[in-house]
Amino acid sequence: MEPDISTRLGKLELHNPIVIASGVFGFGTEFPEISDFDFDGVGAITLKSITLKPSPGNPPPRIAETASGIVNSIGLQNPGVEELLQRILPSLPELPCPIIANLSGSTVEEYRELARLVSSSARISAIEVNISCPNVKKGGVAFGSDPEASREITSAVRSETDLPVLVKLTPNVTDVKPITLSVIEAGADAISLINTLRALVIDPELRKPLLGGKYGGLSGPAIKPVALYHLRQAYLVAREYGIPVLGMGGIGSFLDAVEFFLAGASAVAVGSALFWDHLLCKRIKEGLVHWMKEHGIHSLPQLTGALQEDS
Amino acid sequence: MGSSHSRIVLQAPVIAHSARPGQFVSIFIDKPETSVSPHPNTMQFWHARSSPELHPCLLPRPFSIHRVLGDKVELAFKITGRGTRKLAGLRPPASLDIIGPLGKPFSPDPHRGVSVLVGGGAGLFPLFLLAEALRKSAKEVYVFGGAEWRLPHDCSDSSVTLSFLESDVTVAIDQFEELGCKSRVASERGAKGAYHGRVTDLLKLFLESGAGRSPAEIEVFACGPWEMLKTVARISRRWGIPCQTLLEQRMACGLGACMGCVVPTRATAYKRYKRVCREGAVFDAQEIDWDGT
Repeated sequence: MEPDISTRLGKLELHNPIVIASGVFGFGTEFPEISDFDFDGVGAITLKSITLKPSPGNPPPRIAETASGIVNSIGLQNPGVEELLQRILPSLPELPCPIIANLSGSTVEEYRELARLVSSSARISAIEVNISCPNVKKGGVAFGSDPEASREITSAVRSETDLPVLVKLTPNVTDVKPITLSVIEAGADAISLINTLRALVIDPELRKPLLGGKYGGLSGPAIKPVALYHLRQAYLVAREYGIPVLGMGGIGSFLDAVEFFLAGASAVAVGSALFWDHLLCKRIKEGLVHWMKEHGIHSLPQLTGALQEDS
Repeated sequence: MGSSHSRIVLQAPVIAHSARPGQFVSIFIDKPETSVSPHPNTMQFWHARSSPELHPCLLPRPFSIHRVLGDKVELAFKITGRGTRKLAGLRPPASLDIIGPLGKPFSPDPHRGVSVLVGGGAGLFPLFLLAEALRKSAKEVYVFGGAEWRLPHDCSDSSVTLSFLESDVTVAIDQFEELGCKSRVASERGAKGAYHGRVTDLLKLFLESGAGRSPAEIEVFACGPWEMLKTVARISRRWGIPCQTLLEQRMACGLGACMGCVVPTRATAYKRYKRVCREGAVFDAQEIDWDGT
């Protein structure tokens, strides 16, 4: 019998648990233009992060490859929520999977307004809240490193929408548990993590940061062990409230995905690896199904959080 | 091709038959193995055994198309890091995953009969495909290449001849001559046989001399280092001559999805940064904010 790989993130039901992470897929048009891209294996896509007003993004260079990773400093370049709602979504072709919108703001009010506006679109099935943004009112410290700020944002978003709300946590904290708890209490339907690791790339000849935005975020295979660590911590809190977790960070194969399920993920997202393997989602889906059959696992809940920790 | 540059010819019929001058291909240099097998592994990368590198190249690398020969695509490039070094070390039979052709190509004006191509170093290579197309439309083509010589020790002896220049550039110039282009090479250090100065000086001299041509007949196409292109843009603007520049930028996805490969333009606010892989790689020179980096 075929294993059941369907899953849910709150009210969001997914035929398969593989999500495309925010930032690597634009607004859904570029990859499908490439001849061999296949939506088979894609459970949902997360759009590039959107801000209230259009944002130019950081000066280039914005990309640096590192050992087993990428540091990016895109700077949230996007055309703004109005353009998304008026032009991009209406002209987006029908996709075979749900679309998750990702929201970024610099104040709580911006998140509130974004949630209200985005919820008006019939094309959006869920909202992912990017709280890794700097809190301008508190000297640029990330919202997501402060449980109180994270709570405020989640509350604000929650009050404006009936869509499933996923809050995306930053790993640049000592302990994600208090943040996880705050956002769950404020009404999050699911937690997603991790976002990128704060990083610096240096050009030794110029003696300057290589990236135009100075600091950036590290993603890719290098961050997987860190992602698994934070995922586990978040899961240990989230499971007490029956809240599912979307795990991501360096996934590049079905076995990576299995590790994330074991650590506590109900669904997984892939990002950077899509850049060097356009058919990654399909490969993970096939590999996962094969692995589950071999191990007599019938459905994902049997795997989620099944990591054996003796203490 | 000397120790600093390399060429590679790839059998790629679909790309060969649809590639237009100024377009590029995206090459996956190391291949991840993520298969369902009896001994699955999280990630296995192939990379050359002879290389002391431990780290595979993750992101695909973009390369402008130098030439097309039937079903084959030829790339010529400068060796600048891990990826280009590995590519230069490949020998047949090797196979690579590549995507292309990508990017916006050059768009020559059918009403202008004189084309001036300005290439700085390896920037000369992608101009070849353009030169071929221009010659096919019976245009008069001038090619100016800028090159410096690389000797093991620093030497300002102007008795150093053209043959010591990055030999790949002189080979490329020969190829242009075979098409019927008129060419000159510039060398800042004064290699014999080359114009002593910058390649942009050659452009200026050409325009000042008139060569029997009015600015209304001329258009400029350029590829090379940023500062060189900035100068070409300035010269073209002063003469009122249209100029198209082929740019490059560090890329991640190469498709337009990630917003990584941008260059600054003179558009305002959020439209300031444009993608080299989508809105480029060819840009109108007057669109770019040359002081923006």
